[in-house]
Amino acid sequence: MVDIVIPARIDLLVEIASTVRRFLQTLPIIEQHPQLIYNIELAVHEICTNIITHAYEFNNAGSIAINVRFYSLTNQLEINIYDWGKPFYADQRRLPDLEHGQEGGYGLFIVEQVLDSLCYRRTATGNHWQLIKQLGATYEHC
Amino acid sequence: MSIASQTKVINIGILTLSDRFDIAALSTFRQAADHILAQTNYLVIDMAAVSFFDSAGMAALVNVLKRVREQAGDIRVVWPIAEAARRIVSLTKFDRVFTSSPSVESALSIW
Repeated sequence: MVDIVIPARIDLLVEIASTVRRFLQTLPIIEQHPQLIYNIELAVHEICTNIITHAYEFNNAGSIAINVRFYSLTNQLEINIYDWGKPFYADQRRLPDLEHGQEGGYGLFIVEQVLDSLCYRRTATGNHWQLIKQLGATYEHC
Repeated sequence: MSIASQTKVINIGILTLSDRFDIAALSTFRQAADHILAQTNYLVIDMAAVSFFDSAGMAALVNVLKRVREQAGDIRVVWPIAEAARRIVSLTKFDRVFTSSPSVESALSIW
């Protein structure tokens, strides 16, 4: 499990990415899958970038809390990301124009493509993003 | 019969990127792109050595593409060699939006 709280600054995104990567590389189920590690690192990076740019509007005053857990019984990776900035409005989201390209809108699109689930909820004091990735088969007792 | 012959010399700018092309690198990228686009509208963006590519980098690339096209120029991109970064290029269909070349030499030979 990884728990970090870090100032919401662009120059610290690389620290978040490397912390998440180091944790993922300790998981036997994923250590030989660099694409999967890259995709998860990118997903966390994109959510944190959104938080810094939109929730905190580059004010350098906020923080981001990240919790990464791997559930070995279900082979599921769960990443919870919290901030205390402005809310995210899904209806204002810009979708990418994949045929012609556009300046923006790719961040959440990428996250949705590389994960199994992305959930957002507004809490009493901030925002909570939950990222889920199934890393292997789930074995259930019959 | 009269024949008029003309030779056109094109200046081609080459932007070579490496490591992380993400939101933290945007300011440096924009400065370099502005500097080159002030001199030419023909551009090669060499991303072969880029290991990490995010949505902010993508937006910056599209910005440069638009500026070049507005000036009737042309742009070629050498995508990352790193497989993980390259797959994101396919996922977002950037490989269809941009004209790509396998290497800088190959891109230069087209013009």
